[in-house]
Amino acid sequence: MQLKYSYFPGCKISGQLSDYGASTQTLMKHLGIEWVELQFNCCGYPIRHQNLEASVFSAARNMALAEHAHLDILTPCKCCFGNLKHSQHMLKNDSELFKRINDRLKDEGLTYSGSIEIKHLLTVLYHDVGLDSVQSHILHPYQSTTLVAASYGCHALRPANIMNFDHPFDPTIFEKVIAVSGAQTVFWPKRTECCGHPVFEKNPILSNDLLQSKISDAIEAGADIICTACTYCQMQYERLGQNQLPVMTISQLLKKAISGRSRSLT
Amino acid sequence: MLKYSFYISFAIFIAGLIFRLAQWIRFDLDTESAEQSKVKRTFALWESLWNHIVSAQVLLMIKAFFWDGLLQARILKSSPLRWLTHMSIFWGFILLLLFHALDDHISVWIFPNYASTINPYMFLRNLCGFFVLSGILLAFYRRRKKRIVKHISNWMDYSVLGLIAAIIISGFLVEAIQIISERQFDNMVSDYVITDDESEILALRAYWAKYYSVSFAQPVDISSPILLETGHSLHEDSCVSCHSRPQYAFVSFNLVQLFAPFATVLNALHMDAIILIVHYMLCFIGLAWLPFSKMFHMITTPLNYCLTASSQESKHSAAVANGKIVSLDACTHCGVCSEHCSVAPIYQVIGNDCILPSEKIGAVLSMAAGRHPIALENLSSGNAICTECNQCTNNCPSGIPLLDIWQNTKKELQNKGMYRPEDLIQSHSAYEWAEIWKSQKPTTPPYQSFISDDPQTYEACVQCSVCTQVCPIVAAASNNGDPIDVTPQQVMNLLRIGLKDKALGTQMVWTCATCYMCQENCPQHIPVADVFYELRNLAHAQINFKQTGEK
Repeated sequence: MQLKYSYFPGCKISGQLSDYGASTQTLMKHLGIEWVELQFNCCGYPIRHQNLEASVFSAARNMALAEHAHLDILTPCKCCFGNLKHSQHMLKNDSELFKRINDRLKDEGLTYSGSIEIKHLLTVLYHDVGLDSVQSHILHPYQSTTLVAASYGCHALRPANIMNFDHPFDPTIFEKVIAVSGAQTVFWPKRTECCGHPVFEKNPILSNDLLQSKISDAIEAGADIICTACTYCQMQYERLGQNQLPVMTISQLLKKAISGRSRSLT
Repeated sequence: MLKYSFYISFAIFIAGLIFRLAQWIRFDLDTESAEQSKVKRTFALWESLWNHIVSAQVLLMIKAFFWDGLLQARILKSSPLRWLTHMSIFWGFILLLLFHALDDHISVWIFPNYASTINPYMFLRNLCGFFVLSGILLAFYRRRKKRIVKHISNWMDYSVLGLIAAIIISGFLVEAIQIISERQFDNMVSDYVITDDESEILALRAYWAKYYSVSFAQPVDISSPILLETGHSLHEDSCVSCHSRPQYAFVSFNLVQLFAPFATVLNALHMDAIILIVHYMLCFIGLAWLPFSKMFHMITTPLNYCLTASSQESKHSAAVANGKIVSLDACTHCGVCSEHCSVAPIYQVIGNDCILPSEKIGAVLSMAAGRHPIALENLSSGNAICTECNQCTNNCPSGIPLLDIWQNTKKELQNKGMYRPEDLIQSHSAYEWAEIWKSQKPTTPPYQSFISDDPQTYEACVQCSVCTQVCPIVAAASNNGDPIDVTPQQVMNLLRIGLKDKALGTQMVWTCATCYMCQENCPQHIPVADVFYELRNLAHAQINFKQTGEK
């Protein structure tokens, strides 16, 4: 069956991290995933600190657009994924909020019913495409001596009862996807911890401390590369930690294993 | 009178031009610009102009002027319908201006047989007017139809559309009433017809009544072929070299049908002369108003295309300061940025105009002019919501580097003491904030789930401190020797004993990384992170209240 999604890059890909967007699209092309780009807006994650309703409304508008197109949402960003899922949960369990949001959507002729699914790139690769199928595209596998540390990103993991992504503390999906590329993954205790990006603007020192403790953990575990699957995590590593270990997104990692071409890694 | 009216409006136009040019030097977009002396910036303006012209960049600039300025390729890229709209208005009006309004200075020199009432000029004039009016209608429709554009459209947008429409409509009216005007006919006859023979003139009247739609007070017999034949030969001698059939003025001619029944009254009232004066006056108003209105974009937008096309980086900070203001001035308030704005839905809930880029531009300009402290506060809280997705810059048909401006504005607002809530919260301890907020009217966001007020939320908390132990913020803060003020478990305790007001301003709540470690690890399933989110929402409402003093 042809896989088709509404692709939700999120603000930071269009504004700051176009590499991740470009490599994700190339990867989808290689894997035969079809996608459409709708007139999406912000997922609502950044405004959630300030105004829950604005956050849920932003998310709901996106989901309503995807519903209108009858397509599940695929996003490569875990913060977008997390907030869309969280808003979906809120709307399912809070009838007053559901009504308020739909009243607002009506102005635009949109409705939200909750009929589509929110998917992260990793879950699409793992559940929808299937690892065997991804494997069949790998023509330039990494050497098995390449050790990759998978940096999960909190917002897709927790709260687990809402995200349904993987185990909140002991996930395996990311490692399994990376393993397809031929590289080996390492276990590092801080792989599911916060990268520090959410507090970067409030407290850059703390933010850097959080990131550095992750990087040292990855180095200690012997990793050659840190791999991310979240726009915000990637931005945080690029901004504060690029010199210690090479950091790449899952899309870049797989793209290189599939086509053999990539940005140089150092 | 017309002559003096023109001189006055032209003088206002020139004064306005100087006023706007002076703004490029007078306005300071940021502290760095403000530090440059105004004299330096005046010289820099001329110097950069000169440098651009003599450099190799001039070819790039000509290309930009041709593609983006004259053919408006950027608008085409963003929306073919808007391109059609704008091209119709722009080219229709420019052609009318050059070949109709300035016909004594341009058309007569270019076209040897030029007369305003002969084809193809008469037909083309109507065609241009028709294009402008259709464009105006499309633009008006767009402003009423598109949700966000409708919201941002203001009196300036509508009055500019209205003025241009009024100029064109009055032009058509003049032409229509002149076609049927007996007075015009008589004047022309006395000026251009050589014969004094009454019967011949009568024949010409018949001919013109039949074929040129002139309405005579005295009924004219138009059925006699002999009379018409005589009229025709006189017409051939005296009139035809300057007059094509009025049908070719296809808009005005259709209006004629509308006015024909009232022709006698209109002629008696000298309506042709009155409407002509109205038409002139409207044009003069347009000229005088141009530099003060958004129509000024016809100068600034092409200028901005040229400036951005030139990759020559200016080394003078004075020139950079000027360039920023010029680019802001290129805004046409078309609203495309707000249509593409990623956080426009947030505006729908929070309702601060300064969330929308098209409205932020006005606020940034008034910041640059040093006006409106209230607007500054709205700008600060609105601009903070921008996610820097860059869609505004990518879609701006005027090529304004909007994201750069928002980022600069963020810095500049901090220089001006407009702190973001995240920074402001650090200026007091949680207990001090509780005291400050106690004295002000309690504000809450319009929608809250209020789990923080529900005793059941914390009922099961046994203060086991697991949340604190797994919190990466608590660990990182104590590792670098600056322990967090209260731990997650202590925040829960504050809430349990009813001291929510003391929890709202805690560093713990505001520095939460939202990693949900606490909530996921809690053996009692207490939604610690969700409560923190809610407390931040409530605190934001309070702190925003304090900042803006309204809402």
